[in-house]
This record gives sequence, structure tokens and C-alpha cells, in this order.
Amino acid sequence: MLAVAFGLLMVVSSSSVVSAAETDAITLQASESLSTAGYFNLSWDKSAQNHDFVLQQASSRGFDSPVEWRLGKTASFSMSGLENGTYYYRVGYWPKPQAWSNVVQVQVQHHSLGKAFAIFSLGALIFLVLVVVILINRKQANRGF
Amino acid sequence: MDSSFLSPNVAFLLLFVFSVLWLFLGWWLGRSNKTLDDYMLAGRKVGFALATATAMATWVTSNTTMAAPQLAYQLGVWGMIGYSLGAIGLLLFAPLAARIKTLLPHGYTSGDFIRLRYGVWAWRTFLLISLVYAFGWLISLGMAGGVVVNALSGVDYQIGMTVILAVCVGYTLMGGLRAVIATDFIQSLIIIVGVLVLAWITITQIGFDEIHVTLEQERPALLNLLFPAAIMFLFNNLLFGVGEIFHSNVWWSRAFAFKEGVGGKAYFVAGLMWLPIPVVAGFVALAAPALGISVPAADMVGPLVAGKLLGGVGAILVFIVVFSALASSLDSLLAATSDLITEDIYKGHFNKNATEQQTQKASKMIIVGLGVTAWLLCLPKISTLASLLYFMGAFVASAIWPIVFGIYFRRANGMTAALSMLLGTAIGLWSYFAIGFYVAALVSCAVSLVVMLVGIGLMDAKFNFEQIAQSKTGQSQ
Repeated sequence: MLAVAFGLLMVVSSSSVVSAAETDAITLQASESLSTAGYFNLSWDKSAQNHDFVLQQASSRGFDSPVEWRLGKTASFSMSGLENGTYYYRVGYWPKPQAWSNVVQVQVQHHSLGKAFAIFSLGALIFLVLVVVILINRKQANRGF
Repeated sequence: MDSSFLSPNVAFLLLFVFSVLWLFLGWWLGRSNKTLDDYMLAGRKVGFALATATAMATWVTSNTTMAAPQLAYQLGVWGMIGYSLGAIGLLLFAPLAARIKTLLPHGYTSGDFIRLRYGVWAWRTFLLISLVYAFGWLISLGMAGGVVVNALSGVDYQIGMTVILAVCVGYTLMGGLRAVIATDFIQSLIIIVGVLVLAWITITQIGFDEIHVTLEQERPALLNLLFPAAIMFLFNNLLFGVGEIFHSNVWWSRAFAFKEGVGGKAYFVAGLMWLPIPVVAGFVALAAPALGISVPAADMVGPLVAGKLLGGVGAILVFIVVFSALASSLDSLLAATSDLITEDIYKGHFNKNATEQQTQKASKMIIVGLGVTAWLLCLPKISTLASLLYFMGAFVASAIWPIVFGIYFRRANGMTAALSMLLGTAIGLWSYFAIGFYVAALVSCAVSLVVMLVGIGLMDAKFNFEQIAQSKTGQSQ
């Protein structure tokens, strides 16, 4: 049971590779192609000894006006806090990559607010019942068995 | 991790100094243990100050100092506030602790209560849930040790994790619950001071404005008060915390160990003291984008921000705080899980007539076994801290209602309790994968409540609570 439970955790969702790589020097992957909470992990298969990496994010495949981060020598990046939309990523060697990695596409589509508030309300109701049950019975229990 | 804030030599020195300190305290405090009650329950004489400190320090885990920043980084403002709702578990356990001491004055474990109240099948279901949770928590603590050492110094994850697990096993083995509670007192002081210093420096060095502007540009959802996943997460985290505390022998063993009349007050004050800590620890994570920190994995964000802000000094501070938080929880978990396995599995199933010496020896062997098993499961870093942690939510939240109804209502019965735990866990796990980690505990708790209500409605049981108080605990019925 325990082994099965932890084994399930190791299931990793597949990444979405949009276009062929300009070079196969670096292969970029995303932990998920559809994010429902605005966060995911990007990782690549190379570690750099002497160069930092640079990661670009754009809202189009052409990478017009990209947002850029200098990442140091680590081979992964944790992205979070994104609004709904389609995001494209590529990684290269800092400062001016001669070649970029493949392009990865991640779609962020948050859960609906209706679903969120339904679950919130269910949680609030259960909590309220729990507090009431404990407080009412606490007084009775103090009087003995 | 390439840009380390601490040299490996400094990291090893810190590990050595604190390892020696905790091990010495374990040995020193353990000298006065004479009986099984001394070793497992600190003689059942723990006073208010130590009781409050151990409850607070145990609940400030590496998860508070590492996963709270992760949740702020992933779920934003609601992430850190939601995490702080874990305090509700301590607050609500306060009245339960007083009732537990009345119902079971000579009890050793939470399993004792479930067995006497609900019978064998609910007891076995409960033990399964408790052990899955205990191992999950142990693994998350071991992982956190490895992650923090690696994030700050570049020392291999496996080395940091191994040293921290070995030290905690060592001093818990030597000192029993007495050492666990006393070291918790020192560790809680270190944690509170360290976290406050870190938050104050974050605010003074960067300022709210810069943090806010950067988040608005780069991570707008983190500031969004209508962030759907975060809204779902709020009560999920609250119920997860309640489930962890209500079912776990970590908290029950303390209720048994505290002096008469102390448990209720100690848990209530500890809850109030714990409440702001995740907010403070989580807040620093929101500074990561403003500081231009690239975060390789979300559970590394807390140490990385501290290291970036304060360089070597900040890294040392975080190192000490996290090591203290880890130790204060790991020792408690090892001691309480060992008690549970010793009493409920070794004595309850395999050696019902074990002598006190045999039981104490078994307890020590189980602590070592738990440490080794946790170490083996920690070796492959299978998940991030928060994902692993909330996987456990589906298990523990299913035990809330069987425990609450079992403690207060005569009509709750064993078959219903077992079914509510099984169905709650199963459907909670389904929701973990189908929806997300942020709903597993909530769904599990809701299913469990429905099953309990239906079961109570259909079966007309009338339990006599006096039969628990009159029973001789520690022996199978």
C-alpha cells in the first residue's frame, strides 16, 4: 500500500515540445503542458561549468518582446504566478546564445472561480460543523463521561 | 546548485556543532529515565511551559520553514495565509487533549483509543493511515534537511539528509520523550528569533513597494486575491492540519505526557504562538522575483532568498533555524511513531505479554528501524516538499470525524469509522490526482463526514465511555 502510494507520486506529466530544436545542444522540458494553478517547472538536460543560462518567456512562438532571466548554472527553473494564457520558453547560454534550445509551450488555464468557491464553501461548512461539534460537546464532556 | 552562500566546510562545521549539541542533550536528559513511562511519556509530568514549547516547536517543522515559502511562491498571498491556518489544528485539539486525558488516563498511544473505542478493524485501518502519514512526514523532514543543506552550501542532498536523520535518531534513542521535549524548548526559541530576524531584514532591505511592483509585473497571480487554486487551498490546508494533529500519536502522546489540566491550555497557547510563523516565513519567498533569484525548485525558495539577502550570515541563520525546526519535529515523530508501533503492532499483535524491558528494547530498535527506512525512502528525491506533504492530506483528513465522533458521541461505531477512513482516503487520493494537491484533504474529510453521519443514522450503537477509562491499556482486548 505504502509502496503503491509513493509510486503514484513519481508519475510525472509529459512536456509539450512545440517546434524542432534549432540545435540539439540543450533539450528543454516543462513539468506539465497545461497548468491549472499558474506554476510549473522547467528543466533542461545540460549543466554548465563555465557559463550561466538565460531563459526567455514570450507569448508568441516568434519570441517578440520576450521576458528574460539570467539563471546561473542550474538546470531547472520554477515558474509561478502566471495568469491565463499560452507561454513559450527557450533556454540558451548567457549572454548571447549562439543557439537556443527547443521551444516549449505551456498553457495556463486556471480553475474556474465557480469551482474554486464551491470547494471553498464546502471547506467552510465542514470547518463550521467541526467547531460547533467540538465546542458544544466540550461543555458536556467537562461534566464527566 | 552552483552559487552557494556557504562553503561546504562551514556547512559541515555547523552540522557538526549542532549534531554534538543535540546528541549531548539527548544523552544528558536521558540519564534519569528509569521506567517505560519515563522513556515513552516523560513520566507523565510535563508542565505548562515545556508543554507549550514542545507543541509549538513540533508544529514548526521544516515544512513550516520550507514549504510555507514554497506555497507563497506558488499560490501567493493566500498560500502563506492558508498555511498559517494550520494553527487551527492545535487550537481545536486543546479541548480534545483534556477529554483524552480524562477518557484514557493511562493510555500510551492514539491507537489505544481507537482499539478500545472502535475495535480491531477500525484500529488496523487507523494504524495503516497513521503509518503512511508518519513515513510521509519523516520523508518530508529528511528531504527538507537535504534540500536546505544543498541550497545553501552545495553539499550533496544525500549527505545533508543522512547527517540530519542520523543525529535525530541518535538523540531520540538516548533520551526518549524527555529529551525530545526539552530540546524542543531550546529549538522553539531559536526558530522564533531566527524567523523574526529574517523577515525584518527582508522588509528593511527590499521594502514592500519593490516586492509588490515586481510581482505585479512578473507574477501577477501571486497578488490575486481571487486566485482559484489558492482559494481551494485555504480550507484544505486547515483540514489537513486538523487531520494531522487529531490523528497523530505525536500529539496524543503529548496529551498523555502532560500533567493533569495542562494539555488544553498548552495546545491553545501553542496554536496562537504558531499562527504568525508561516506568514513570516512565507513572506520572504515573495521577495524572490524582486531579488532576481532564479529558483530551481519551489521548495528551495526560502533558503535562497535568505542567502541572497544576507549572504553567509543569512545562510547560517537559515541553516540553524531549519536544522532546529527539523530536529524538533523529527525527534517527536520518531518517538511517537516508535511508541505507536511498539504498543499497537509489537505488543498489540506479536508479543502481548512483553515485559517492560522487552518493550523498551523493542521501542529503541523501532526508532533505529524508522530512521533507516526513512533514509532509504529519502534517497531518491521523489517530489517537492509541498506535493509530498499534501499527498498525506487525503489519509489524515479521513480520520478527523471518526476521532471527534468517537471522543464525544456514544452512537459512533467501529464499522462506520473504518469505512469512513477507507472511503475518505480513497476518494481524497482520487481528487489529489484529478484536481490537485490543494483539495485532497478537504475531499477526504467531506467523504468521511458523510459516511460517519450515514453510519450513525443507520446503526443504533450505545458505547459506554467508562469502559475505556477502566480498561488496562497497552494490551489487546
